[in-house]
Amino acid sequence: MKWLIVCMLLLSGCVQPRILERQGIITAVGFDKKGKLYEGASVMLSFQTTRSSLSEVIEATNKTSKGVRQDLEAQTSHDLGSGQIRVIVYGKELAEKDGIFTLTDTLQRDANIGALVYLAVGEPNAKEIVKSKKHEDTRDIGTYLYRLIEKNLRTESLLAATLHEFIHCYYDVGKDPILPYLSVRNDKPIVEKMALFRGDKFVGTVRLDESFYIKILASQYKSGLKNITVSRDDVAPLLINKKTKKVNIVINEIKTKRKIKLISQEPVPHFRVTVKLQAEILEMSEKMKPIMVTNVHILERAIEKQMKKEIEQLLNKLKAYKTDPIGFGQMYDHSVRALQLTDKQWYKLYDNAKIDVDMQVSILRTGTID
Amino acid sequence: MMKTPNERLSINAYLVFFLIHTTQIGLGIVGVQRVIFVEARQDAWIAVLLSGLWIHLAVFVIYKTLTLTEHDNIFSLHTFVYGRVFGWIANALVIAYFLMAYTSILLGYVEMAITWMYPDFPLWGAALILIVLTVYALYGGGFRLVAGVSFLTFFMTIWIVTLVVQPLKYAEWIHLQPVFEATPTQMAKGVLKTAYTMLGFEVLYVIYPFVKEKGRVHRYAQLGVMLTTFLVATVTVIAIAFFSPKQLDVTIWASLSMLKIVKLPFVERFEYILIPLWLLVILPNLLMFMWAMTRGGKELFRVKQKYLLFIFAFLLYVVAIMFEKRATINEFTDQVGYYGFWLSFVYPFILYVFVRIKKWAKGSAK
Repeated sequence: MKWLIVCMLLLSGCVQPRILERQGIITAVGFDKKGKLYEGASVMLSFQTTRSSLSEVIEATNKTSKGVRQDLEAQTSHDLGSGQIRVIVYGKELAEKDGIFTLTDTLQRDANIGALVYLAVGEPNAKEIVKSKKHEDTRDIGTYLYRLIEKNLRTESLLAATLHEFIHCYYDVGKDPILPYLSVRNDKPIVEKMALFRGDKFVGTVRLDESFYIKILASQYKSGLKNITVSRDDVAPLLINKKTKKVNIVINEIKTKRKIKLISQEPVPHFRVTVKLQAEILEMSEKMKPIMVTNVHILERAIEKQMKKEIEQLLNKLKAYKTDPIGFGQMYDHSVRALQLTDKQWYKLYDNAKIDVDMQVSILRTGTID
Repeated sequence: MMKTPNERLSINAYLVFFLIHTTQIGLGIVGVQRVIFVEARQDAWIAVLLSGLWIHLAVFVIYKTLTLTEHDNIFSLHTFVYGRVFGWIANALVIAYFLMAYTSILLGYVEMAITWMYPDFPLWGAALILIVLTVYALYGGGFRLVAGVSFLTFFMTIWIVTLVVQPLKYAEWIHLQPVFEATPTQMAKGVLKTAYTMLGFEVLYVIYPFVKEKGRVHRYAQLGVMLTTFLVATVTVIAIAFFSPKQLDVTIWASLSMLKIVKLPFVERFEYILIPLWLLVILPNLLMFMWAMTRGGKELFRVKQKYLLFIFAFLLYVVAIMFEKRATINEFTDQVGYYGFWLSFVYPFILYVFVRIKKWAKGSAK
């Protein structure tokens, strides 16, 4: 039996070894399209024995994304490894004209790439984002973008999609993906907007304060702060100074319960959206009377009214873009028996769908003062 | 008739639980979700439960068949029922099935390991490692080792189940709605497709003579089956919630793709641990089927199991390295599932009736 053990030990050496110093670890990739060719830019991180790690951006152009990869290999003495890709940025033009599904498909096919890679859209193009030199204290731009998205997803109104979630939404009938929209300010990539998709094609953007509502309707993450502008009349009983026209209130979302229900199918799909939002007040532009049990409802109703208005505006905007990031179509498909909804049918129905919004806000706290 | 093995070679009844369960769980559970989902859509999990129910019944019938006469394993039962010549052919078919099952598990695992971890590793090398491992284990240990291995690997791998908590974060339970939408035909097809994953309980036909406390075998066999059904149903429910329908339609190893989400502080790509660990899950399968093969071969050819081990190993290796493409492996696995379905889900009921008739005929002839 001894020779058997020897044989096994020898066979286990058959797999190619990977030496850390010879690896070029890709942390971020950007894709653009020029004519018929893909332009790719990768951030490569390499480790040295003597110095600390080094990051470098390499670029290539080819007909396919794996071809780009091949051309990239030609430009470096390191073995490129894609197992640590954190963020993939698609140029706005590429996402708008060609769609990005074929590119994401390649990624998913590759077992090397984790499912938790974040996807994003870059403006004006992906190259500019990836080539940016400013990345705070992180080692490379890939890690910076990853942390930027991760942090804003956890605590702010940003919605993000990992590779898995993007493909999930893409395949799901009646739900469209939504990705962060990166732009450059003072040479530094930031997130200001969200990119809306129809299928895998970029169709438009919404501001972060609008995406707050998409987030409270569609995801379980915390949505962070929200600035609400209510009209003076709505909160009149609370005001001390009665001259100003608008009052700005900043609330912080604590807990949200949402429920989307299909009430009727005919003649047009009719949904009722119920949102129960618990919040605390962080800032008011106007001095108000102390908020008590007796008068807090005035403030709550005023915020509800404004939020309802804003949600309805947002829903109309989404309808105009023909995109459904909240997943009404998914709800429709799964609520109706024996129905195989197709995307085409849904967009037609979606356009006429009636969506009632029922907003219930309760203010739990007002900070350390009333 | 086969001699009842002596005390030294037999095992305790509780080990039947591990033997049945670990032989049932193998490669199927890694990718079963898509296969059933394609047929029964969001009601796939119901198909799994129905299939489980059927297996409980089948195990009951197998047990009854084995206790009916003094013939306590499938090979001597066949000779008893069909006579010498036809019994021989029936036994050869059973052995051929074990051979196919072994090959499909071997190829399935190798293919998975190659796709996920070592794209440039040759199929012949991987197949060789696994076959040599099987031969090595069985040459030294025999049946008691198979039982021991299934006992150990069960505890070494059962904790993987707790990992499904992580993918649950991304679950959309609405995918399960509406329930009971599948038509009876779809459901029946779903049950049929579950067969490949749930196969393995038929080894009860072979291991029964080796158990000490015959009275408690049935209970433990049923418990093993119950756990399998529960696990398969769980991963199916989670996969339906985790993937969108069209995505699941194209995902080959749904369980693995799901566990890609798992991220521990010290290892980010969990599948790199999971795939080597899966060898422990399929090892009892490989050992069990190989052992069953040689046991049957002993009846058939009157040759020592030791020599048969080498002969079958060589044969399996030659068959295995002929496969190359995923599509052919897939087709082969489907075939195995299909034969396995007839042999394990349908045939026990027929055999039971035959044995009864034969027994009655013999009794009245006297």
